[in-house]
Formats: sequence, C-alpha cells, structure tokens
Amino acid sequence: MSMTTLTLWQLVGIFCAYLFVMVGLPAFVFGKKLHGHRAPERFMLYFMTGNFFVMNLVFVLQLLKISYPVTLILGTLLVAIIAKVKINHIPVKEVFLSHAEKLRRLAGGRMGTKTAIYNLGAGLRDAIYRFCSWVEYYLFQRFLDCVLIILLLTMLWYIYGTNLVEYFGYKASDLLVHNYWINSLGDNDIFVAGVYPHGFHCVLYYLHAVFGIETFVLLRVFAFVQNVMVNLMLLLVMRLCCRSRFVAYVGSYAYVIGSYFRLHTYTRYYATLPQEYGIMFILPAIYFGFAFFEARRQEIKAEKEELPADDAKETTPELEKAEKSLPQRFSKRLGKSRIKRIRTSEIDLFSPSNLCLAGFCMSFSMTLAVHFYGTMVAGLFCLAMACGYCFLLFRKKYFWKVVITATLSMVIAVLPMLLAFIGGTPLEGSLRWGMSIIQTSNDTADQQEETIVDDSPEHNSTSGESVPGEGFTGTNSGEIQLQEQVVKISMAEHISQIRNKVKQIWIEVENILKAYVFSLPYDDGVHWIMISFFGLIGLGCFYILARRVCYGAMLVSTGLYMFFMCVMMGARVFGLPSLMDGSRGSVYFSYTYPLAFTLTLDAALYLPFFLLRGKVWKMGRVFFNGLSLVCVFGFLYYTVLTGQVRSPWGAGAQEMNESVICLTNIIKNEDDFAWTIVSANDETRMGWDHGFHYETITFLQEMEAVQTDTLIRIPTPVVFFFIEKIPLDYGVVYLDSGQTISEEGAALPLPKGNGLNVYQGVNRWIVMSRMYYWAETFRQLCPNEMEIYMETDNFICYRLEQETYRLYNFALDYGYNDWGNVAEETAD
Amino acid sequence: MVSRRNFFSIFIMMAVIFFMFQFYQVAREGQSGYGVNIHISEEVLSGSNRWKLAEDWERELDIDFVVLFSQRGGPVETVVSQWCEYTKRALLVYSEMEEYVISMEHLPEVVLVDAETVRLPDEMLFFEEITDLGVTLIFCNLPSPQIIKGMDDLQKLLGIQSVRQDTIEVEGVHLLSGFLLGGEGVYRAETEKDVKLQDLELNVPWYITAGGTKTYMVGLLDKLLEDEEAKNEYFPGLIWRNGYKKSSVFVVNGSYMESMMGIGILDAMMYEAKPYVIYPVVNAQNITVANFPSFSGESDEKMKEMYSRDTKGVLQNICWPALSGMATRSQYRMTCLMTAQYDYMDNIEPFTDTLPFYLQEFREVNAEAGISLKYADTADLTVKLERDEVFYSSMEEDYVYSAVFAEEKDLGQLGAALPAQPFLKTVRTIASQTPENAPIISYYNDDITLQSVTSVASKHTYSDNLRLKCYETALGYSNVLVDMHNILWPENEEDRWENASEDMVSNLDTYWKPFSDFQNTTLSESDARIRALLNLDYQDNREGDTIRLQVSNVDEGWFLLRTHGERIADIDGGEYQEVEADAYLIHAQQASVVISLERDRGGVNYSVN
Repeated sequence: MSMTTLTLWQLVGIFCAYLFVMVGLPAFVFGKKLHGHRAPERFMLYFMTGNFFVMNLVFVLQLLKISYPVTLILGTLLVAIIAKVKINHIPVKEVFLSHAEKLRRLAGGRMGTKTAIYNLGAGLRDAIYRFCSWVEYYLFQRFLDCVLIILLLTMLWYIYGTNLVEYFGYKASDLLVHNYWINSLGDNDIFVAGVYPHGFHCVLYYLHAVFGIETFVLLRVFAFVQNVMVNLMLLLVMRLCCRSRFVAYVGSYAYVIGSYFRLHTYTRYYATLPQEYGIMFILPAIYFGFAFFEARRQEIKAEKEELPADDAKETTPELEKAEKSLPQRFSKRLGKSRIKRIRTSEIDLFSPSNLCLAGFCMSFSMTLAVHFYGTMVAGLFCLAMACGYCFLLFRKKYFWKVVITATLSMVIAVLPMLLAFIGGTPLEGSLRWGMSIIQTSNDTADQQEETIVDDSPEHNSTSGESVPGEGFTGTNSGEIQLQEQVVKISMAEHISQIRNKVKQIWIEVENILKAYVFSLPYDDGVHWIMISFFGLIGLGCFYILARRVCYGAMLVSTGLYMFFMCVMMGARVFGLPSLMDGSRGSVYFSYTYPLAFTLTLDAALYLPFFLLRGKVWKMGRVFFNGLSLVCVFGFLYYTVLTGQVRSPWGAGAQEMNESVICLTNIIKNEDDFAWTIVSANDETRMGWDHGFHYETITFLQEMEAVQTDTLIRIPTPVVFFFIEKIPLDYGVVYLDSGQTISEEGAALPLPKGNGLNVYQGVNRWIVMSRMYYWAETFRQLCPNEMEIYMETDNFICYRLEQETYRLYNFALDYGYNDWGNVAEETAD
Repeated sequence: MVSRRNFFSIFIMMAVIFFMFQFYQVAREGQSGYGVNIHISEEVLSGSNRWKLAEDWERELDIDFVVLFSQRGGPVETVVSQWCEYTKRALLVYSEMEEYVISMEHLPEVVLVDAETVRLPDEMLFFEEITDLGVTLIFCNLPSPQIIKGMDDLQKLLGIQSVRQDTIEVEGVHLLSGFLLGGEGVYRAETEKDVKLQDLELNVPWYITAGGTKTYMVGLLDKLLEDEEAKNEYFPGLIWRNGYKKSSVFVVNGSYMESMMGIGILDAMMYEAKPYVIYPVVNAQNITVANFPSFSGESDEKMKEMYSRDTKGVLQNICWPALSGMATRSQYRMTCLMTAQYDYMDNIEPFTDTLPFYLQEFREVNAEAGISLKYADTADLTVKLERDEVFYSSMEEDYVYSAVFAEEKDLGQLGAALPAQPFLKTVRTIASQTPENAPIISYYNDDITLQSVTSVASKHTYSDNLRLKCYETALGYSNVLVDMHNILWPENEEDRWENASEDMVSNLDTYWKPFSDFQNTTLSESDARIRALLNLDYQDNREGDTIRLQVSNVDEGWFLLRTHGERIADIDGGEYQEVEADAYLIHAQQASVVISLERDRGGVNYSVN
C-alpha cells in the first residue's frame, strides 16, 4: 500500500472518530431535546458540547491522574447514557421491566417469535424511516445547500488536502512540542512543561487513547479535519446570521478559494496547531451571543404578553400571537409544554436563551482552554457586541445572565490551569512569551516588536513563516504624538490638525492591513473595505431604527468588531499595547472578515425586502434568495475571471516523506520498544509509545576522538539510522540549500551544541554527511547486519540488528572523526 | 442361583471380550511383518561414486576453494579438510605462507590461518593484500598475546581494541544466538551439580574487541576488575568477526578449531560472511541403543541383586518399557543393537526365545534391530562373530541386519570380518565411538559407512552441548549413544537404570529439542542420507531474490539454507521446513531447485508510491 493511500484511510478514520465523538454522541444524548432547532444551530451545539465534554473529561481525569483508555471510554459512555436518561426522562426501570416482560412472554410461549421479531424490527424500521426522511430532506429540499457545501469541501481538499498526501511530515517545527505534551498526557502528566491551555492536546490525546490512533498520525493528518471544521463553523455562523439563504457561501468561498488574503493568513492551517483549532470556537461563541439577545428578547416579550400564571391552563389568542411573533427559527422550539413552563416561571434549561448561553459558555470557555489568542479575539467581539447590544445588555433580565455565563466560561477554562498553578506548576514558556509581547510592546511602544527573544517553542517555530511586510514598523507609528502647541491655534486649525491626524491614522491602519491581511488586486481595495465597516454599522443602525433590532445590533456589533480588530492590528499606531503580533492577528482578522463582508452583503440585499410581510414576503423571499444565489455564482465568476483563485500552497514538511514512511513501517513491523531510531530530532516524540530515539548529533559528538575505551551502545535489538542524502531546509535556507551530502560536508567540523541550530542550514548538511559516511563504514564492517531499509534519491534508512547481550560498539574511526577537537564554533 | 439364560449371556459376553483381545493381538502379530527390516532402502549409493574433485579443478574458475595455512596432518587441517569434503569445497594446504601465490583470476573463497604457521610481522602484507581483495580470512587460533600487544596493525586486522590480560580464567562461556543452530548457550556452572559439566577451555587471553566487530562467543566474568562494573562489551571475546577493508576477518580465541566442532564453526562463519549460505546436510537424528537387548543371562546375579530380577526380566520389563515410552513420546527412531553374548568364555549360552518378542516390539515403535559387536576381552572378534553366527543362524527369523555397533579397537578388522559372516553380509553401516578428530560420517569402505557417536545420552557436558550445536549446524546430524552395557554390568550407583534413564531422558528432551525439525532416523535410514551427502555435488547461485540450486550425482538430498532476515516464499523442485529463524531445511527432490526468498524481518509495508 502506498503511503498516500494509507494517509487517506487514516484521514477517513480520524474524521469518523472525531465526528462520532464530537457530534454523534451529543446528538445521541440531546437529539430529541434539540429537535426543532435549525440544523446548523443543532450541529454547532452538538459540536461545542462534544468538544467541551472531551476537553473537560480529560482535564478531570488528568488532574485525578487516572486518565487511561478504559477510564476515558467508561467516562464517555457513562456520562452519555446517564445524560440521555436524565435529559429525556427515560423511565429506565419501566423500560427494563417492559423488556423483561416481553422476554418472559416470549420464553413462556405467550408471545410468538414473529411478534417478537416484528417488535424488534420496529425500532429499526423507525431508524430507517428517519434516515430516509433525513436524506430526502437534504437531498431534495436542501439540494442546493448540499451542492454548495460539497463544493466548499472540494475547495478545501484542493487547497489544503492535496498537500496532506504530498508531504507526510509535520508542517511546523513546534508540532514536536505538542507531540511531547500529548505523549505526556499518556503518562497522566498534563502540565509537564508548565501551565498551558491544553484543550487541543486533550482532544488529540482522547482520540489517540480511545481510538488507538497514533499521536503522530493525528498531528500529521488532523490539520485537514480541523480545517474543515474551522471553515464549517464560519459557514454555519454566517448562514445563521444572514437573512438570505446563500450569501454565506460567498464569504466561505472567498475565504477558502479566493486569493484575497495574504499567504501567511492561512499557511498555519496546513499544520495541526492549537491556535487554529481554537479559531473554530470564536464565531460560534459570537453567534450564541447574538442568538441569546434575540431569544431572550422574544422570551421576555412572550412573558409580558401572556396571561397571568393562574390562567395559564388554556392557550389564549394573545399567547398564540406571542408565539407567532417569535422568529420562525425559535417558534418551533417553543412547544406548548415549554410555553407552559415559561408561564409558570419554571427554570427551563433548554429554553432558547439558556441554550444560547450554554453554547456561548462552552465555546468561549474553549477558546481559552485551547489558545488564549482566540479568547482575545472573542473578547474583542464580545466587547463589540456589548456596544451593539448595549440597549439590551444593561437591562436586568439580560445583564446578570450574561455576566454569570461569561464568568462561568472563564472559570471552567481557567480552573485546571489555576489548580496546577496554585499547586506550584510554573507557567509554560509560551505563556510567558505571550505576556512578554504585551508587556514589551506596552513598555516600548516605539521599538520594534521583534526584539523579543524567547526560547518558547512557538516562538522558535518555523510555522511563523516569513511574512510579507515583516518588519513593517508602521511608518513612524511611534512618532504619532500630540505635540504641545506652544502658540495658540485657531479652532479651524485645530480641526484641521485632528483631521490630518485621523487621516494619518487611517492610512497607517490601511497600510498595516495591506501588509498583513489583504492581498487585493486594487490599490484602494483595503480603503473601501475599511469604509465598508462604516457601511455595516450604518446599515445596522438603519435596521435598528426599522425595528429589526437584533439584526441591526448584530450588524453594528460586527462592524464595531472589525474596527476593534483594526485597532488591535495597528495598536502601536494608537499608542496601545500590542496584544498579538501582526502575523497572528492577521489570521484572526482574515478569518472573521468574511462574516463582516457577508453581513454587509446580506444587509444590502435585504434592504428591498425587509418591509415585506405575509404572502408578499413569501414571493419576495424567492427573489431575495435568488439574488443571494446569483451573488454566489457571480462571486465565483468574478474570482475566476480576475484570476483571484488561490493555488494550493506547498507547505513543505519539516520532515522528509521517507522518514515518515519508515517510521510508519517500523511501528507496524517491529516489536514495541525493541528498536531505536538514530535521527535528527523529529522522531524523538513521534515513536514515543513504541520505541526509542537517539539524536544524530549526540551520536556523532560521542564519536569525535574515538579512544580505546570509547563505547557507544544502543541497547535495543534493532537500530535504524535515518539519513537525508539531500538534507532538507529545516526552517533555515542557506546559500547551497539542496546540495547532496558529500565528503566535503563530512570533512567540516561537527556543529557544537544540541539545540535545533545543529540541524539547520549548512549544519544539517554537515551532520548528515558525517552520519552517512559513518553508516557506510559500519555497513562495510557488518554487511549482513546493517542493511538498507529504504533508499531514495533524497533519503536512506539503514536497519541494524544486533545481539542485545553483546551490543555493537558503534564508536569507530570513519575517517572524519575530529580527534579531540570538537568545533568550538558552529559551522554556520 | 444364576439362571441358564443369564449364564449363557455372561458366557457369550466373556467369549466376545476374549475374542476381541486375542483377535487384536493375533492380528497385530500376523500383520506386523516384524521379520523384515523396513528401514533399509533397496537402492544403495556406493562409496565408489563419492564426491571427488577433478584432478585439474584449479583450472575451473567457478570452483570454490579454500586455502589453509597449517601444519600438515595437524588437527586444524583434519577439521578443515573434513569440512571441505562435506561442503564440496576444494582445499589447498600450505605449511608456509610463502608457498602460496595469489592468483587474481581465481581467488580463494576463504583463507584459513593456523597461527603456528604465521611469521609476523612479515606476513602482515599478505593479510592486507588478501583482505583488500575481499577474501574472507579466518584465524583458526591466535598468536600469543605478547605478539598481538606489540603490533597495532595486527590488532586492527583482528579487530582487537586492547589486550587486557595475557590470560584470564573466565567463569564460563556464552555462545550468542544466531551463530550456530540451536541458539544461545550459557555455559557457566552456577550450582555444584553443574561443576562437573564444565569442561570447556576457561583460561584464555583477554582481548577487548573494537568498534564494528561482531562477537559470537565470549568468556563470562562476574566483574571486570575489582572496582569496575561488568560490561558485556568488555568480556573476553572467544569468537568474533571484524570487518576489515573489503573482507571479514574471523578470529577464534581458543582451540575450538582443533576438534571436529570446528566444522560447525566454519559453516557458521561462512554464513556470517555471506548474504546467505546453502550447503548439504544429512538431516538425521539417531539414537543408537547399544547392547540392547542382551540374550544371555551373564549378569543375572548382579541384576537380581540390584533389581530382584534376572537379566531378561530387567531388560524386558524395566528397560524396554522406558525406552519404548521415550521413543513413542518423542518420536525418536531407535536402533537397538543386540548382543547375543558378552563373555564368550563363561559357558553361559544365550537364550533364543526372546528375539521374536523384541523384533515385534521394535516394529511397534519404528525401531531397527542391529548387531552389537561388543565383547569381553576374554575372546577376540573372530570368536565373537563365529559364535554369534551360530546363534543368529539358529533363529528362524530372516531379519536383515544392516547396522552394527563396534568398538573403536575393532574398526580396523571389520572390513574383512563382516563379509565373512553370512548374517553380517548385509551390513551397510557401522556405528562407533571414534576419537574426537575422526570424521563424524564417512565411508568405511565403498559399501559401508561409518557413523560416529556424537553424544552419550546419559552424560551431556558443556562441551558436548557446544559440539552438538556445531554438528547440527554443519551436518544436521547427531548419533546419540545409549549404552546398555553399563546397565547390565554396573560399576557404581550412577549405572543403575533409574539414574541413567533419568539423565538420558532429560538430556534428550532438553538439548535435542531445538533440532526436532531434523528427521529422526534409524542407523540404516541415516546411512542412506549420509551416502547421499557424501556422493552429491551441488552448485548454487542467486539472482535477485531467487536462489537456484543444482544437485547432481544423487536423486535427492538435504540442504540447509541460512539467510539474513529473509524467508522462503516459494520453492520449486523440493520442499522446505523452517528449522529456526533464518534457517531452512531444504529437501531437494529434483536436480534443479528454485528457491524464492522474501523479507522476513525489516520489510516495508508502506511505500513511497
């Protein structure tokens, strides 16, 4: 089987496992309760619940130090079953007795076999019927949606998936660190490197432990799964927020296939990174925020319009009117029983507003549990939402619910980390690094932000690829200061100065967005985009005035959020502390911008139709949705016509394909912990659960100056040596990149040290050259034992079998030993 | 009172039961054909067709040949020449290294060096040259440590990192797995009982092997020095290989190459030096039960004293049930070599009534009957044979005796003596306890083969075990002697049957288990296979994953194929059986055998494309 085929199978497996846990199980538990909600909303609720549950289950079991496959499976199943029984009020005893009675009747001959089979088949028939109905609904009634979603998935595969089967290795160097942390979860050591939001690692660890998928396979392949979910969340949120049916696809397609954004805004999606995993929870949190205000408003309205509680036994015309006045998407949910509970002031956990709050709580909590940058962005959006919905938020019936929910979401996310921190576990390096960015930026707003030097893995990561416009300092951004006016100036001059300053800031921010975010065919494109934010706010205000309060507030919030993001991106221009560096901020900006763009388009399209009611609206809706569909195809046509179609980016891996293939074979064919791989770094963590690793640099350094008592042993029956014949550029490109290993390279002094530096640039060439000549020398000595396991033009892997009682002494004079003079300086 | 009806019923039932038991016994006797020796084959290969090199073999460039530098007639030469005969290699022996001139056109497959013939440092140049040509070099023993210590280039050639001590007494010997068939062996006496088993060479020079060498046998030490932690890698090497230039240099530190176990070591070395080896083997595991049964009551008095039975009773009721039980349980095929009489001057004549019983019993357990030629010193071989002739000719059985057991002292006379006696004219093979350096299997003359006893069942020392592994590796052959003479003429408590049989059974069940894939045979059956091995000629070559084996001069033969991490995927022209990891027994049934190999270990399931 080829590695490509295997990768595809692995992808299918991971997709199924992930969807089963994150969507399937919650659907099993909450399916009946959420019946009647719109499909995207249900999907998001299931997905959030699944993720929230898995993360917190792993957190709890890890803190209790009892996280094992058995406990994870038991925990999942028990909670799912208990929740199913409790939520759906399933009378377990009665059901059990009923089945027992049926069995008794069957055993006693009082029930015929045919009847029993018929009864058994009844459930199956129902399931088949429901499935057929579901298929019929989506295939025929939602045919266009299906086609457009399939088109989106195809685009995603084209842009991101093809890279997956072309390069098998990790696409970012810091994945090794994440691999290490996930491996540590297997040892019940969650905060092995310090306090860190491990939500992402919990999910991958869960998939690894419960489904037996290798961690390194997950880290290789999961990027595409998470990418699909990130884009799906974007689409679903846009779909739920927009009034028109298809305009959301414009935003999605623009984000996936259009080359309207700079390369670095999406290159990180090629790797399985926590920041990108956290992104998928931002917009659902915002949507649930929007939905809460709308649902709560309707509930309050219904409460006000209903009869006094003691008359609640009968449904009155007023109540029916109140029901009808609810938006269509909520009316289905408010069944009679629920309205009855509203009337009787019972607490209904599954009321629309509470569900929205729960959704918000889970998703906001997960932004923090996965990556705190996501929380910053979600927080900014919440701030914008607070402004947009200020006329509702500060009312008593909203405020405390929101405050309690927000607090709860923070507490849930922070609690595991807080407990660990109180227990004496220090913060993980990247957290300190993140804080130092803010701090340094605050202290030296006029200095370049890239002066920060930190040893955190993410900082050293090669995933922070070179950014166009990197080093952009905002063109004297720090120099924008109000200068004391010694002389008195006139009002006109004062206004003129302010106008100039605003204009200057505007240009600065526009330049930043051009440099970091947008890549538009027109020079003034970004200028008009920024202006469109005003348009969005304006439209929002218009709809508020036109009594489309919540829709309008949503538009205003989104418009304000985009301004906040502009401020965050150009924080230094405003003299504010920089919350995150430009390249990272641009990822969030570009991800959330399609929402603003789509809402602007939607609001504009809705303008001619918003006053329509009844049958006229039904007719108008056809035109409205038709227009939105035209927008989708018009956009695609425009994109293709103007050549703005994005090409798949060759996200070269940090590891050679052959290395991954060899490792996969080794794990499959060799006995666990009976082998060691001598290689440059990457396999250290990848084969953690199965074998051992020995660093090439250590191996070679120990062999400098072979003395009579030098003994280099590797105590496993089988040893593999991975050598790159054409060393890859591990994050660093040098003058002769791509050259083949040679005697010339082997003759150079061995790089000193043990960090990544020894495997980067020309150092990697030296190390690999040395290693190759050592291996060939040893192979000459042991031709039968040292065999070539795999060889291509770029790579060679040797396999050595040895007697464990009498291990080989690998120390030998291979012709390039440095005889006691280990290079003091690195060769680079 | 029993009614007539009941009485009749009981009678009928008893009659049926009686009939059933008797019928079975009668039928078995009638059908057994015990008077026929089923173990002999009709067509017998003759020693006149044994494998011989053409006189002008040196002109044929495709013939593998071995160069040995050793004193002529020395033990090393004996071993190497025997190995060459079994593996069909040509041998050139030189007592002086200068006598040999390297021919670039026809390089030797391997050069063996007896340290006694080496004059250092003059001959270092030859070693450098021969290793540069890729010829495998084997040091059958080593020069003295003082010489090695003073020569860095020799140390480099031999793969010696340092000479730690000129001599050290090791605790034991550890044979590492993968070298000889039968796997790992740790020969260290850890209990008092084990001490008597330790008979290996323990005083050896202490060489520490260099990086890149592969060690096959080491001396065991509890600690290296007073304050030094024992590291296995520093234990004294006894047999190792060093990769030097383009060849492999094998070194034997000790006298292992001076006995016949050297043939196994040589085969194992060739295996280690090459990607694969295939060579002929006998594929026979014999159990030679000598002097059983004895037909005379010469030792009745002693037997009655020890077992309260006469000789006949002891043999028939005590010894035979144990032997037959062991044979049945472990599927051994015994050859019981009967003795009519031991002392021909004691006037005690053999009893004639038990021979049919034993022949029937032998047939039941697939054993073969042969004749033991052991006798007391009071007579000579001629007398014994004449008296035995009288005894066996008086028997009505026309069993064909094909195997005899003879003492070493009589071997010289048997060539003439056997054809002279009618009952021994049919003899095809002789089993005997021969000296350690004598051939294990050979033609006694053109018509008769000689099979040496390789082990004694009741005694299995460490060197016996090492020897067994060597013989199995080289020939897939063993001939275990169960000598019943000591049981009938006991000298001490250890000769009591219960003691001897306990040791015998435990030794056979333990030490021969790794070789259970080789076929159990009687002496006549192994005789046919030995003839095949000694007569056959073969050639093999490999193209890619396919080995082609051409066998000539015989209709069928057995070979041992040893690979490095490969297994047989398919075979054409024969059958195969896995003996152990990377070792396969090939039964060549046609003149051309094609063997396809595939990776066994270290294979790749997922490929780039």
